[in-house]
Amino acid sequence: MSQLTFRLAAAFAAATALLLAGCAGDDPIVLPGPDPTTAPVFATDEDALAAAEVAYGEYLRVIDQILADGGKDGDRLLEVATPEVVEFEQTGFDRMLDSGRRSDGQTKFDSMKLQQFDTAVQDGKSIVVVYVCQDLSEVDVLDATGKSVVDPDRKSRIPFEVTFNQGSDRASIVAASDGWTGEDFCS
Amino acid sequence: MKKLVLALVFMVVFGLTFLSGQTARAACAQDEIADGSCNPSSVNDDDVSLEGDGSTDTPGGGGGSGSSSGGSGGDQGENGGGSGGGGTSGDDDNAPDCDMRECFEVINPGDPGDPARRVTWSDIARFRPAPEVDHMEPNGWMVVGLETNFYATGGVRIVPGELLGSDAAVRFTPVRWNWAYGDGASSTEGTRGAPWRANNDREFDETATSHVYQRAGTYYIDLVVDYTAEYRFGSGPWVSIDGVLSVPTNRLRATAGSAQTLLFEQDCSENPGGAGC
Repeated sequence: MSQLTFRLAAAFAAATALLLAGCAGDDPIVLPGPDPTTAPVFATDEDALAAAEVAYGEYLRVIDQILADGGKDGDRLLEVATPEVVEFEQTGFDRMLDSGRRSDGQTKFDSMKLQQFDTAVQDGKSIVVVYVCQDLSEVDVLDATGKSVVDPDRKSRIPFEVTFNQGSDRASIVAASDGWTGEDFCS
Repeated sequence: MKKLVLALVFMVVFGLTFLSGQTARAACAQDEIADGSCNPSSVNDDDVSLEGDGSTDTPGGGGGSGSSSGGSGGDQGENGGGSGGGGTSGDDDNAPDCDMRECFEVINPGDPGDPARRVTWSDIARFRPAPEVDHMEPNGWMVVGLETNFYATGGVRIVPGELLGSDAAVRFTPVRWNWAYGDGASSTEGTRGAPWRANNDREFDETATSHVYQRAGTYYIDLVVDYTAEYRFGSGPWVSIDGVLSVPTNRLRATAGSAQTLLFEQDCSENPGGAGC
């Protein structure tokens, strides 16, 4: 988004706020905290979705690598996920290390849809939430002898709700990856 | 562009206060998803069933939409109480950093005379389900007199570990969602709710988990999720544990304001199903 359009947007917002404030009686009207000169990270839904697709692809690529390495060097995930996510996944990496298992194959994703994105949140970070289908059809998990230990009932396509934070370098990183328990939009 | 403009208008008018400190852990670690031992989206699946002695607390379907029961609290026992405390106290962070027995309230209805029961809540205290995440829409604000939709994300959590010296797993199934809306009202639901768009609802429509605020101000919203638990050794059958475990989630902070005129994200020609069209 250009500076001009952003300024227009801010001016329109301020004008509307003043108009409505006159009608709102005694209710508290809180003026915006964020510095109005700070441009939002994503100007459009499309930008937010495109960034999320890149970030999720990277996240799956790194986690596939760690699992293929039998859970070694789980800290690699810090490049693409928050410390909370890494801490949780580390329990799985530890399981792989203990059991001698490793994965083989690439976790894919498709059908990513934007659920919401906030142009400004506290600490100046932006949050993007998407729905996405994880595709495990090409992923195998092998034990130390090379035998597959994948549950035959494993679903190959799983719906997820994934939350991204804007990282320190303004790149998006995975902040939460929860299975979507509502309608299965992947089957 | 239009969307952004209107979003900014909302921010100014309502003093938008966004969620903060909202973090969540994945429902299943990726290694479990890959080998199929944990399906993070399985709360509605048939495999969520009781294969143990089945004495109490058959886990409900839980998630999805509709079917708000709100009245399933009958098994919250007289001898409950438990060791609860803590939880959401003061700041916005979830995932309290403490032992389960210190943080989470265990409501155990008893059946202490059952000789077959070998595993108790204290035995599985080290197994902690990753908390659900509470969401609201509009995100961080509400309009006095109109519905605000709350919903949680999460699911069945299978937590592997060691129990009584053997490899085991504990399966936590969310069954009740208890919202305290911060205005004195509270609600217990048998569903975690869903975003408006997931059910093709219009913005500000009433949902099973929505709430109307009557006064402007800043509110803190807390959600506590009740889980039933089952355990199993190795790949043996799941055995239920009596009672439920109450786990607090992230706290939401939001501001309610009044409006004489409401602006919506899209006009009625773009979004004929939108509110007010």
